[in-house]
Amino acid sequence: MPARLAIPAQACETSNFDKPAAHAGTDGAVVPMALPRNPFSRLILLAALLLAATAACAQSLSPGDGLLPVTKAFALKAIVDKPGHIALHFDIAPHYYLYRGRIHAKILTSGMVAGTLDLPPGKQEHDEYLGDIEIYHDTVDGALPFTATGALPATFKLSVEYQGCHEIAPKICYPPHSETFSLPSAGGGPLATTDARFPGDAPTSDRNIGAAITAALDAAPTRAAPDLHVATGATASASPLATGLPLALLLAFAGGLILNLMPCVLPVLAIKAVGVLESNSSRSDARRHALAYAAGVIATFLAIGFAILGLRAAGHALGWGTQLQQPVVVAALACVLFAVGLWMSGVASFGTRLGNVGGSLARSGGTSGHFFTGVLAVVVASPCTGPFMGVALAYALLAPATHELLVMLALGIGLALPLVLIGLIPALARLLPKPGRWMETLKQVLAFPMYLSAIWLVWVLAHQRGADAVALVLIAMVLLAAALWWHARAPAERRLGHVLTWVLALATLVPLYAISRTTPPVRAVTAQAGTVAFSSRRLQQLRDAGTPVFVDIGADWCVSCKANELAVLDTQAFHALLQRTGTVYMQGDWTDVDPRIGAYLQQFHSPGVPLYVAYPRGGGAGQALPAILTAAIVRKALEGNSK
Amino acid sequence: MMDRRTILILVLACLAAAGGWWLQYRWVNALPTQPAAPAGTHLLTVGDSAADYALPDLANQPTTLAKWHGKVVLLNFWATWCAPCRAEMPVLSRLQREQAANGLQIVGIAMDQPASAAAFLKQMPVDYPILIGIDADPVPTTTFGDTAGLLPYSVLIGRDGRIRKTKLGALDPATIADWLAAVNTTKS
Repeated sequence: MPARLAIPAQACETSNFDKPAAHAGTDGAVVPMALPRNPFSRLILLAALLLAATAACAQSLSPGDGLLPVTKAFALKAIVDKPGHIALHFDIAPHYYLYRGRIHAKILTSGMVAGTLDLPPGKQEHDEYLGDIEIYHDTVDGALPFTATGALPATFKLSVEYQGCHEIAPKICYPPHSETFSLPSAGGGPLATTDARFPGDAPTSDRNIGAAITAALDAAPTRAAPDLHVATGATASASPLATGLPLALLLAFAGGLILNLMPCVLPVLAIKAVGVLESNSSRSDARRHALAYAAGVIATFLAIGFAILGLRAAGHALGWGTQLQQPVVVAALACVLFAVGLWMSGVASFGTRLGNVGGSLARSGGTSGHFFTGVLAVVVASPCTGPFMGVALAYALLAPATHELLVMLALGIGLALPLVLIGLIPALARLLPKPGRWMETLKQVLAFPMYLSAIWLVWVLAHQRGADAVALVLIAMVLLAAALWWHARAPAERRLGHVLTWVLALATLVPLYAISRTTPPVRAVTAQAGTVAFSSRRLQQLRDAGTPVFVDIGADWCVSCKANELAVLDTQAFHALLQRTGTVYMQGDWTDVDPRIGAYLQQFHSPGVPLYVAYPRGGGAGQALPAILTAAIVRKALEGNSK
Repeated sequence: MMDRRTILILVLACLAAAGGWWLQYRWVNALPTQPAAPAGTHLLTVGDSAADYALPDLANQPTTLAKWHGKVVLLNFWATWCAPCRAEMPVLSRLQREQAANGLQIVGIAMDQPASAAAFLKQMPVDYPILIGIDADPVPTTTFGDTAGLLPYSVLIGRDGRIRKTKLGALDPATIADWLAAVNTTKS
């Protein structure tokens, strides 16, 4: 957090912030800040740094990287989808795999006989001991025909054994695991007759089970490789590396530039506006501040870049904005924005009670303040995925290390550029209004967007962890306000006053810690009229049936998603379009960690949310749409699909 | 443009970033707590004596861990279908050869059918004895704290027959060094 980004003082040009207790509103001008010189302000600064650091690295974590329980790592479903035919479906979590040769199914009910388990070809691997083996990732669909030797019982028991491993550190294997299902014998529809139990007119009698099973196998739709590809969506998107470095750099630069205009940077725009205005003070100051800000932005992007590299080396999947899946990060960010708001309102002042220190120190302090404005800008911008940025990030997440860092650099340059230009080109700076008393007013006005941003984060937290977490974060905010108030009010020379400030500041961490211990509330699946909750199985069923599908993966903390909902997806016109084209609207929510949705995003090489995919009529490959939707884009995608 | 103070702050920032990264890494990489063992199962945890524990060997002869009393015993649970287990077995075999003089005794426990284990060992022999754990009740992995049965899993038992350390996942060089240090300190 940029403690003391700018403080009011008496003379702009001398960076005179070492004067004691220059209070907001008295001087009508702002000057660059010094680095906070008392321990409390430094603590706040460090807390902000830590937040930025965790945010930077959380950025690149995939959901649920701990080892999953076996039934979560390999989620198995079984249904009797038509007479004499069991469909098995595995959803395999990212970084887990199943051995094809170690999946076995048997029917436990006497009088029922299972045929041969039909599994699609897996990925070929060479194992030095086991030889050529086949493994599965993502999803597997198997089929098991069955018949009865006598009268068909109403239900029967099916046991499926499977075994798989986790392929990244910690590399471990699960022991063979069996699941038992109780299935209705006539699940998918009525059996034609008890004599002809299989489709395909197989001659069936008690003595001829083998032939019946063979016939059933012939009749059973084998879910072979092409279908599996459709299911995983692997064919739906080309490798992001196809973008190429020059284009990726260009897109990253443009994306960073446009990020300045995205709604989530709004709070930082407020800070930056103050920064720009104060940089009017002198040419050299302006230049220095602009460069410090740019250094902050770029350093943060590079830090994210290195964190991504580190985590990639450790085998983690990556994402953009996923740190907001951690409630404690959301809560801490809300507190930071709240504190910045208080400072802008003039309620709190960071480190205005300074001793007498030389001007050179002060100058460098001002530089650090701008540096951390840059850091904050990146942290706050992460809930947004701007146009072009998605492609560039997707490229960066897979590219070699140097290319990845170059893309991050380009993003940083793009984001920092407008302010740097204002700082470096006097002609641009001259277009800005002259500093004056109105600037203090403006700063106070800009405090209100800060409070609104904090409310937005509290709202996100409410969705993630419910009312308890909201109460806790509000308590944290009150404690923070008390700490800042006491800090501004307590006599500087009293030790006791400092101690109380510290106690209050540390007390702020208690509710934040409590938030990290909360568990998500039970989420009712809120299927709105005309929408279907995301499930890869349901998606595949719809596509098998040839139905066009529009998949929308979003999150409460994703500002771009909300903007798209407001502009396009929640409109009458869009729902009319869905009806006209017969498209099923499938919504997935990534507000909280969800490996299934994470895996789906990975299939489309999407670094984060939003992700919109339009699947055409007839079960063809899905087409990913841009992160920022317009009615025209959606109409084109859906109308093209329904033909 | 940079004075000492700024540099200090930047250094702290880097430390904070590293710290944050580490915390996050630990947080995310934390292994799940093992599921509860079935009620009534006697579990052996760190500090408990495992000297009386017995399993059949490949010739189906019951073997008690007390056989290696006075040595540091490293139990390594494995199976032929577990690729990471097979990968670490040559490493363990070499470790056995190198550290036998220091009183280290590795004992492999196959969570596999005896025939599969024997076939594998014929092809890729190891320089330490193998016991068969698949038919024991409760399963040995559960008894030694790996209630989910995940493999590979290793247990270090001191010269006094008491469990010192356990590790889920392959033994990395750092862990091996750490465990060997335990071997050497208990020697004195």
